[in-house]
Amino acid sequence: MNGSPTRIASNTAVLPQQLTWEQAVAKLQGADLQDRYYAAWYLGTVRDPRGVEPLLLALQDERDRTALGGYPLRRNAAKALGQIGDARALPGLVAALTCTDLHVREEAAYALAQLQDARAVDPLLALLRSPEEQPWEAIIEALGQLNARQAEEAIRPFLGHASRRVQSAAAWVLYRFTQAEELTQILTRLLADPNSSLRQAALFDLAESGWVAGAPLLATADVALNLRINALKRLFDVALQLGQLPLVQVAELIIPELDRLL
Amino acid sequence: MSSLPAAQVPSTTVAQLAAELEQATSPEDLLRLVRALGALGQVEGIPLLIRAFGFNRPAVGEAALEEVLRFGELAVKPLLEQVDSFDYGARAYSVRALARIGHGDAYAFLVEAIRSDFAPSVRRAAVRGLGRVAARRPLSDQEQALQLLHQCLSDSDWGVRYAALGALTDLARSGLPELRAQAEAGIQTALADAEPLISLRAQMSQQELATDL
Repeated sequence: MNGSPTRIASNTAVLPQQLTWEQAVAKLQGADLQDRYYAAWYLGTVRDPRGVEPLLLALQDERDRTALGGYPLRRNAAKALGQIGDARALPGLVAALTCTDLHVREEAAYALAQLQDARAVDPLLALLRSPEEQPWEAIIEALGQLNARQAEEAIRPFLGHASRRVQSAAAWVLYRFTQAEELTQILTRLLADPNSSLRQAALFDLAESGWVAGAPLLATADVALNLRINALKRLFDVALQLGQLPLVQVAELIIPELDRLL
Repeated sequence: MSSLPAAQVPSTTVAQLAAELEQATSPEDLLRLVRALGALGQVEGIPLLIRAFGFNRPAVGEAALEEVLRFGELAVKPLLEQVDSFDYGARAYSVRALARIGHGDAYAFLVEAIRSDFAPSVRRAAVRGLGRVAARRPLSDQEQALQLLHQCLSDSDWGVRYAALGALTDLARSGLPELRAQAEAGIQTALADAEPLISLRAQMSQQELATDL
């Protein structure tokens, strides 16, 4: 959490190595596993649609395996395809939902949410009904981002899931669908939890829910300042996107809270 | 505001609270001590409240900020002397305090933070305070602040752009009258910002300034 020793310095170690698109694709298709992993991440950050075809190939990679059978390159490729957000990635990402690596399925679910293409809803819903262990939080959140109201009844049982992160995801998605007040209570309870990472997750889940009246709770949560500010901004954007309240009312509830923090 | 009025703790001194603060670990104890220091109202307690900005408990930091603000301009000197150059989280609370108090002595520090601090939360807070602080400075500083705030309107961080609108509103309202038109021109350009939140905030600034006239 600490800053750098001098006020003006920033951490140059995390700055991306600059690559041209050609260099990145060459690295992605090269022999060095680390270079390939880095190139997939890089193509996602630059969001160049020319990255879609090479990344779809990387999504079927067989060479980069972990000791437990995971597919690290596929995980990064799925994530990058989501960041690029090109509809051509849809079939490849839907296929990745059946990958044996749970983390690949997780990244594919989040990526499908970013594509904002309703054709992803049925495969995600099928995965949610699977008897096997799944990346529940990612699947539920993706269905929420896709505004898949037909998923409401399939999501509801997850309010009682053993993982509170999963409960929190189910609560924000169902609130977006139904605006039922008791769902906000689940989220505000998690926002006051002694566990700081859970508070942080609940903060952004409250923002995703679009519950504008909760803005003062976001502003005063025991979570780092920049995260509270960013969560309020996200709440504003979600409320605008949902369009359930007039803009004036959204502004009246959120702007004073932001002004207090900035 | 405080749950612990000074009258109920007549024997408590800053030194006693300082000793308790050394031992405290739970957020509840930290909060109670921060409130007690504020209620005591003695300037010797200000450095302890500033230290509480760095306890890495945002709720404690917010309470300490509230208590520091009660001291008003008396807090400016200790705030400037005690800025934490290592912990940007703590630094952001110090800058927020300076921004709210709006004393001219914070001017050079805010300008430097806007130009070179790497932490977004610190830069946003410094930008937010610049209008209020510059309004207490001579014309040349107000002109420099205006120029800097215009640059901030095209910053890549939406939070900096948002903060600049508040600062330009303050400067238009409290700065030298001859600069008001330029401050308003900046707010006008922000109406076209790609972020809906920013253009909305610009509209609100315009409305605030229109009711002044």
